Amino acid sequence: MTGKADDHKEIQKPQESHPAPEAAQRSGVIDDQSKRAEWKATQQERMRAQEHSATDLLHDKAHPQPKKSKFELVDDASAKHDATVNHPPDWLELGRKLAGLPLQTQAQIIGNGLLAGIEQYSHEQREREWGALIGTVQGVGDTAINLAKIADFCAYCTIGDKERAGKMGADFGAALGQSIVSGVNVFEGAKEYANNIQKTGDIGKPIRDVIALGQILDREWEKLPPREQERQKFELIGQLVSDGLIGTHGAQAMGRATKFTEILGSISKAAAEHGGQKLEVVKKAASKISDLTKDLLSPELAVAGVGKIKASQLEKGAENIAKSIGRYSEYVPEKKPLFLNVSENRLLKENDLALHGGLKKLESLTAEELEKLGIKRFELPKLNLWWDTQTFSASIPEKFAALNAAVLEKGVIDIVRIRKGWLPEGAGSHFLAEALKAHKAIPTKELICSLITNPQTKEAFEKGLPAEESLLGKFMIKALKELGLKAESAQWVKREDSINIVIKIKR
Amino acid sequence: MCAAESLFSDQDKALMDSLVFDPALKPEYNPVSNCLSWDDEVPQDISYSGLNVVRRLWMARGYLHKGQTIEDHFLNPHILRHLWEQATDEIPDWPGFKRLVLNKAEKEYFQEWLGVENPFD
Repeated sequence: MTGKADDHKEIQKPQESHPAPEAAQRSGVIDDQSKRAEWKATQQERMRAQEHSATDLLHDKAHPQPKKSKFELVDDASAKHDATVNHPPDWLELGRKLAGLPLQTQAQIIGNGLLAGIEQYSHEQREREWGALIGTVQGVGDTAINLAKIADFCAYCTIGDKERAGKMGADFGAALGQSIVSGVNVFEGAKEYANNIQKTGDIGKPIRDVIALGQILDREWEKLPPREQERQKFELIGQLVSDGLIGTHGAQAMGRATKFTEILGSISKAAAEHGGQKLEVVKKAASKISDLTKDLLSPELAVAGVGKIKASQLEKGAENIAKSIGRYSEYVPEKKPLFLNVSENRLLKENDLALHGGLKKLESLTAEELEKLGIKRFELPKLNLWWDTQTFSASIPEKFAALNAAVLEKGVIDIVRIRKGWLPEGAGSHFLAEALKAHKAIPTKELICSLITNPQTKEAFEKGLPAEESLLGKFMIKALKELGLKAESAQWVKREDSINIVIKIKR
Repeated sequence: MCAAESLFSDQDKALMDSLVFDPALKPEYNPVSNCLSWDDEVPQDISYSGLNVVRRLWMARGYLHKGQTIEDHFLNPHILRHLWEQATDEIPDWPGFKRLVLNKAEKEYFQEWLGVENPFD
């Protein structure tokens, strides 16, 4: 084919579309060879523009056309983005509507989206289902694609397909960022979906994969030094607030969030409620979230984005996490009149209270009056609870306090591990008492502490002191008192390779 | 000669075999048994008796982490030594066996907590 023939072909379409004015314009330039190339380039640009317009015309927003492949949908989405630089795209509006729905409905949509994948979930089915739940079909395609990309990335990681997961890393980050800023809280949605569905059957591998990846992101975030966590979080808050994507209320919620997925969740909620309308702002925020996510994953995904993730590890991790669903909870301890000696970081004992005129006197004082005495009120922080079929745990992560225990039979509890961490002196027994209450594991018959090698307690045993006079014995009896229980006896129980303390409870 | 009884039931053994070493995890101090443990060293839903075997392994390893040997156990080191050796045969891939030596940060962490006078209350 000659160049002349090509030229002829290229100008056919505009000539047909706009015969009269184009002909007049062309007649004015074709004799000028220097301008001919410029005219040709202009026409080609117009042709491209006209073709895009034709695509837009075909995209009837009130009655969207069914899409046949993921590639069409992706192209369609990017064309739309280009055309609406400063207006919210449909996926953003859809995300905000979705965020306004009850959590269970959101979870149903997000869960189905994650389970469906890009190609298995037909356009008609999706629009029918989502349309019925959300009340709109605008943006359904893009939102579904984002969820499918997230699910695909998680699945590739889980099955150990490093190459495909690596290639998808950027797409995953973008899809996650876009979902979050539009109000689609992917990780929370997946967890809620799993919690709802596990009562009736298998929650599905894609959901487990997404939950597992959420856990990995949280773990990676936890590995950052606290100052770095704060720096990154407040840098993000600052950007989102100054861009108008979230308000001060949302910023406060973000500030309180400690896990990475909680931060994403608070952005998602705040963005849906507050909602900056400019696409550039939303894109900027999505990109920031995408970068943060990729940074968190990169240490483990070192080779082409995924090198250090061990397939088997992630697969088993996902199984374990799936098992854990529904086994986590939180507990707000009962409020008690506890007072802290600030300079010594210890709770006031009975003789301290007497020195200050008794408990009732201290209770009547204001915070300012207490401060003058070097005292302030103390409340035990919220407990994180976890349990499996054999044991139960409670922790206050920020104080490094932890309990693990087992119920041997009703009313008989064995303490496997107990640590007050950085709680003030005297608060450990309150922690143990509240943790047992939280799990409804009240030792009405016996409280046991087994396999003891704690040096101070061991020393008491070796010296032949009574168990109730040992460090652990005293501590256990104090915790029982907090529960309103009284020890009938405290005994050393020596086994072949260990010493245990068994406290029988007075009935 | 009788074969020694297995340390774990079949179900617990399967759970123990499913554990996967995660080098990124940080240790947790247990002041009751004066030792460290890592989250990937005990599976969910292990039985109470299975858990107590793992706890004894933690206790035994605690001596190594403190620069001592299992023979330093104050009650019956032979039982603990025997349990340790049997465990190396039965669950050779236990992630805990990969942590017989602490790195600098782990050592500092352990020392810090060992120095706390009352870690319970």
